[in-house]
Amino acid sequence: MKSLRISLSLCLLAALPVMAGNFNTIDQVRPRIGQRGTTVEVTISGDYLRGAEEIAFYRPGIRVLSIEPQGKPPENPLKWRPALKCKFEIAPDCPVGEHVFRVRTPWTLSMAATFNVTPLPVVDEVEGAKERGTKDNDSVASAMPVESGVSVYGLMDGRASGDRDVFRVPVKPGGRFTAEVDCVRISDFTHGHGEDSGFDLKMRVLDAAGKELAANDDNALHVQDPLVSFRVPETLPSPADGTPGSFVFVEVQRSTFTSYQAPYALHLGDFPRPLAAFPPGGPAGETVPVRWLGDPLGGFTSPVAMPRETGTFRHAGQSPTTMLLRSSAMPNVLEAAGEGGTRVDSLPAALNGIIGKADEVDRFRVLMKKGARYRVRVFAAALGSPLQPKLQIQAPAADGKPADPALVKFTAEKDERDVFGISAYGGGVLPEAIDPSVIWEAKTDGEHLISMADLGGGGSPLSVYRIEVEPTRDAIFTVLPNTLYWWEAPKWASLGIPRGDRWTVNLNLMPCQGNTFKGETEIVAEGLPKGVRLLPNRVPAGAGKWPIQFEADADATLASAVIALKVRPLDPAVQLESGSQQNLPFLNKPGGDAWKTVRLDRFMLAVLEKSPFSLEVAEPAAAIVRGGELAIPVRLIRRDGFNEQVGFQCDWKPAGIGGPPQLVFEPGQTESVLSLSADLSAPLGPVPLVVTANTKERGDQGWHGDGQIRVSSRILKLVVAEPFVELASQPDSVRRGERKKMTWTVKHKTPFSGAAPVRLVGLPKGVELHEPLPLITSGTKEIAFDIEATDDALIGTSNGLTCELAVSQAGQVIRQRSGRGILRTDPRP
Amino acid sequence: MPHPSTLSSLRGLALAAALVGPGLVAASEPAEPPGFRRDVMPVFFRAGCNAGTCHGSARGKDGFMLSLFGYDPKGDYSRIVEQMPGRRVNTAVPEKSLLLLKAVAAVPHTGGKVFTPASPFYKTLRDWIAAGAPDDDASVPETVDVVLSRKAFVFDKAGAGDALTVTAHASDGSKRDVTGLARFFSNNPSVVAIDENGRFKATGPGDTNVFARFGRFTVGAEVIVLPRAEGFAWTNPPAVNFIDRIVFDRLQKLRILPSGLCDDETFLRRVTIDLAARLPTVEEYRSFMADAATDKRHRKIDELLQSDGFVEQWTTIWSEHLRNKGSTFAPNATLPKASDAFQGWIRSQMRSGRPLNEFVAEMVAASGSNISAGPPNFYTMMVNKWNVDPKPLAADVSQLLLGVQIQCAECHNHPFDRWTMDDYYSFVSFFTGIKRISGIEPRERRIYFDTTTEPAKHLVDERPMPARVLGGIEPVPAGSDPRKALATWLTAPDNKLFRENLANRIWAQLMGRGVIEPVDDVRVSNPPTNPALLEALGSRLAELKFDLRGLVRDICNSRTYQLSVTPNETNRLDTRQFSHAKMRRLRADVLLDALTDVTGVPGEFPNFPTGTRAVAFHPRNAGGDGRGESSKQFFHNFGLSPRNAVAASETKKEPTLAQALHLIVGDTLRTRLSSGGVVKRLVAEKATPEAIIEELFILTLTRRPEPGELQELLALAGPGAKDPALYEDIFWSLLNSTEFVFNH
Repeated sequence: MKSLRISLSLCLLAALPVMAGNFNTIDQVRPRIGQRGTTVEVTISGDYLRGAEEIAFYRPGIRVLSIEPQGKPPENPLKWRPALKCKFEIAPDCPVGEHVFRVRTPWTLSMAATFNVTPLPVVDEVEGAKERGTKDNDSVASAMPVESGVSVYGLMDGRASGDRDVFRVPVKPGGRFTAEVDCVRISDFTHGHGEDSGFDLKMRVLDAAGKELAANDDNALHVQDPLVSFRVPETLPSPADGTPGSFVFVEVQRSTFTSYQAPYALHLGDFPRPLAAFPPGGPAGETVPVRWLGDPLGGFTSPVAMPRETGTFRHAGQSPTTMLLRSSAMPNVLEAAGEGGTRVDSLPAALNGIIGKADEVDRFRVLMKKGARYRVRVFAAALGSPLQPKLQIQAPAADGKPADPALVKFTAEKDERDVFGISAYGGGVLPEAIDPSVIWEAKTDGEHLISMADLGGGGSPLSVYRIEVEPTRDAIFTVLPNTLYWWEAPKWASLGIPRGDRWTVNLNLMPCQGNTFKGETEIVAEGLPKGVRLLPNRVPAGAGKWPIQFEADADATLASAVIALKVRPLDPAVQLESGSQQNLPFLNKPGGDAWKTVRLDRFMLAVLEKSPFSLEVAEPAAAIVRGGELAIPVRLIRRDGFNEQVGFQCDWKPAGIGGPPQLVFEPGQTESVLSLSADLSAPLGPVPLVVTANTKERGDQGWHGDGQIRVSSRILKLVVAEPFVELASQPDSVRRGERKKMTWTVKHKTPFSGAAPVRLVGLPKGVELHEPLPLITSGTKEIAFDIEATDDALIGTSNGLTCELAVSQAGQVIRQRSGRGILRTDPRP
Repeated sequence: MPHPSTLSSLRGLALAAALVGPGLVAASEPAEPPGFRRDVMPVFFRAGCNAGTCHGSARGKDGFMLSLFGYDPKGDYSRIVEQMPGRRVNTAVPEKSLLLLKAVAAVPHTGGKVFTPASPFYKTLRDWIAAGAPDDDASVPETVDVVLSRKAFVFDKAGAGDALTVTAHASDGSKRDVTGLARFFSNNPSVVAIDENGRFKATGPGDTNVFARFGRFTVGAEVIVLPRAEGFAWTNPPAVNFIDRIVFDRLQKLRILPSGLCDDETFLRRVTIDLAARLPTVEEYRSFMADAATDKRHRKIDELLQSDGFVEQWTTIWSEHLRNKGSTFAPNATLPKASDAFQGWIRSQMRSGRPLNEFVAEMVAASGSNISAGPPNFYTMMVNKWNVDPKPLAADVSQLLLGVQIQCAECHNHPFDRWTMDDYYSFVSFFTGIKRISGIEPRERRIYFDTTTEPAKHLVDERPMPARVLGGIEPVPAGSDPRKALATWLTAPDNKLFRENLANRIWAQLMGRGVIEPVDDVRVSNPPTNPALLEALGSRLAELKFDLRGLVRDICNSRTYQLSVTPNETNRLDTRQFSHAKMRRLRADVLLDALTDVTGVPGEFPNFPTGTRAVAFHPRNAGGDGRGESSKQFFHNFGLSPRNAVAASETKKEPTLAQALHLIVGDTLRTRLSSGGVVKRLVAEKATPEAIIEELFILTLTRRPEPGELQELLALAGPGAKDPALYEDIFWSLLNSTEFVFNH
């Protein structure tokens, strides 16, 4: 089994298309699944994995016993791209489903990758087998026999004739048989060229005579991943080879033909696979009886302990894959039979119901107070319900007049669902976004009607919904701006802190739907490892993005930690909720949206080896003035013989401040200058300024966040000030051959000492400026430039003239441009 | 839209007016001043003033516009009386009205002299103007029906004639003779020619229809001109079922003898291509020919009706009709997954024998996901645009499911059918609320009907037109999805248009020509060539609960279907009455599969796995994997439907030079001939050249070579010839023969 699994992995590795510009630190992880209670050998391939020291999971359950790089290092170890062969020890109580991890090397913290855990024994697919006398398993006759109660790890290969995998499974006549495919849900293919459909499988279950017993392609619960669960017929034809017993044949195929490869898991057995839960959630911390719907042997009920932490959570039950349920800080209300609608005694409440048949409308009568603001959120598709919710809220009639027009909503923006940070190419569609979520302000006291129906007039016993109605709350989430096109960009998202140095990220601050708080805040970190600090910060009111800086002690332990970053109001009296989010799109396609998103509610941070270089940027002693430029010296400290190229840039650019794209310290270079400019509308006052630097192993792809080793300067204070002077001139003219003075008036705005030379720039071709240049001191009211038009001077009007002032202050030269002049050049008389 | 030439000319109308006996108009002349709608508007129609080539064009003519064929009397009144007060009508001196001066060419008129001051039309207009050019009051009766004096005429010889009398029935129950105000045309002037006054004359043998138009009504009468009776004796061929009885009855009436029954070889090939979309195998041929039972044709039909090929054939036909075509442009909601979902659903319906009316009803009323369900793709594929535009959609739905092209009625009442603008806009309103929103995954769109959407507005007066079925009176109730009512009405067994449209399409598929042809241009002025046959086929389909296989079984078992293509003296010229089988070029996909099967080399199609049958192919561009380019060219040359429209004409049936050249020099055949190894196998397996040649004939033409053919080929081969290249040449010749490419 093991050897086959490895060969499968290698086969996939070999088939991986080479993508220019790809900077995935992890390309793929094989196999994709392992059984809990076992130890599994896993191969991780990608860039920058040399020297891997730790594989850090976001939640407990998997322990990594060993990490071995494959192959020998080449002459230049920086170019070594070893795959890692690891041993994962999966605990017997490890949660089933997806486990997200990152790889920590001495110099980097990788992008996120996933591994999946099944409760069932894993059996590798064997396409053709000598003992079966078959060259493939593409038909009922050549089906691969497997036991019931296993997870098959299979490969949908890329052959031109299209792969078909058929498995023969023993079943109990009259009993339940369930087959579930995980393909999209376990995929780790972050980028696609239309290959997404290669991961879209469909399934049929046949008897030995080839008669179809059940089939599925897409479904509401698992979307593209098919599932069937049905009662086995009492009699089944015998297999052609005469094997005694009752068998069904599970056939897995691509839904839409493509010639790409996709690994999948096929869970087979007599386990229940409910398709919906009712109610689909309950009060946090309580145990709620949940009825499981859609089971072929009839529904059943079992108690579910709702987690204390509120939100959507995964529940495994008796199935090898999970379902989503809601844990909420409010009591449940279940729809009541009867025409009049369900009366809801008080809010907040979670209203639960089922649109059981076509054209059914469920109504809830809810008392609301005038002026109260409620957040009304529907959960249906987000939990795997086939319902296409149509939410309607109707205010009560007042004074005998007709009530306001009802609010009708049947979709939501992602940020209305509090999902942030998915800014991949197409924006990312999420099942949640098909469920409406609205803020409703009651304009009258009294009984409001909240109703639910299917938008397309449908309905089914599985069309479960949950409407959570609660007063609006203030909350701001911290979100890492983590993707560029289809990848997690480490420069923006990775929290790897070099020992004895620092790293800075620009944190997005996203208010929840209905948030009203806009005051000053600070970001605080929870769960930081010893020796790592989040430096003090103060976030101005309403900021949507802010740089935060971590610093590690020189002796901090090299390790990773899962942390949370939260927004805390400076006013201790303010109640503000906060949490962290990182949403990583997987299985993307160009121009499209992600099929799968890895959702994380915490960030991973790692202490890395001391960087072979540091950045030193002195705080500018002078202000940058509006319309001016400021050159800031940047110094690279090289250590231990490190002489590679290093790129540096100013990733955090305050509003109105501009700077160059990435600049480079060439080998041997340690001094450089960063030129910043301020536009005329740049906000005045102090703003944070920070410079980051990274190695450039892969050339000029700094904008990607390429580079393995990264450090940051301290966060510096840059002051934006009013310009020193304002210069103005009247339109003027000069004849060819004429030498004359062009006069500008000077208005002082910010005092400075000394004399600042002024240059006139933007003169047309053939008009020369003679030195000496005029000087401006504190008393200057007017200056004049000595200009002369030659016989080659361009005839006509030039209106792009401006003055450039160079003020020396605190050892730095600050350049400021001001004024707009017009000069007409005339021919000789 | 064929606009009969008799309508297109304005010239000679003066003569027409002169020919109209004053008595005809006088009989209907009102005692009171002429009414605008009742008397004046018909003059514009009859005189051609409001025709599309004159003032009825969209922008009018020479500054004066009338609504096309008078769809907007209110607007016409305003333009005549109110647009240039005192100019077009001069109530003080009616004869000085521009309207009259132009009509009699007393002032320059592009249309010339339309009638003379002596004509009754002139008098009608003058009297109306003299009476103050009054508008009608609200109670003016409307024309609700128009009836011809006779519905059928039979002439024994050319030169005989008759005349039509046209009577208009008004909403107040009154009737009047409007022969002098109607316009007339013949569908086939080589059978019967009709003049401006409804007088017609038989010109040659055949059957056709003559029509009269008055107001928004077009009514027709059948005219049969019999061939010479000498030497004709009805042979009384046996009728297997109702089809034969009706067809033969008609043929007997027309003095046409049906051809003889086709032989077993021809039948086997014909029915296997028609029902299973492939050629019979050699084994099937030998087994069928060896079968001496009298019911073997009947059994073969039943066997083929259960084949995968039957399912694939009808899946593809419906998929073409429904424009199922995958694209890469996500906003159109027609991504390959949606296309596959639709194709898969259609296939499952065809396989299970779902009644066709239920199949259609489910699509018409469909809401929900376009990828986890097939039917909602009715509203993605048929539209194939970013947004659902209800007008073309309504027109397509009508054309596809009723065979009726209502789009003319968008701008004016249908000139050759009974559909009005009211009908059109009310029908459009079934689709105004169709919306799509994103689903739970990127490829998905969900279709729903937004009940808050306003209905379509009438072009003339912007009246909201609530959803109403074609020909219906009351709109469907508002506030809910009207498509459910539409689906119910559309697919009801008593909906004659629907059942006959489906029956006619099935008939056309098997016979090569519809009883109405083109099958999707059903209108009063394009009547069935055998009305009783169409009615019977439609009724039979409804009686069979819209079972496709049931009607196909009836048709294929009929003697009519099994007639030979070889004509006799009496039916040589018949192309309309099914008196002999029609030579039909194989559909592009069936032909490619036939080439694949006989050569043993599977086809490659873009974005489909190798080995996919052409008949199971549906176009879907998934970015292109560079495969199957030659099949794309083949499909193009042989006219596989590009699915750009619902029109039946999207599938090309006619042979072209490009097709012949493609088979002679193209990749499709050249690369297959030797690589499949068929010839090599035969040469190895068969003992004699005779056996090899016979096998190649059966494989390709489903028949043994005739003695002459065999002799010639043996002479070419020489005794005991074993050179595969020689037999490849014979194979190539057979595959390039007309006999191979056609179903006969």
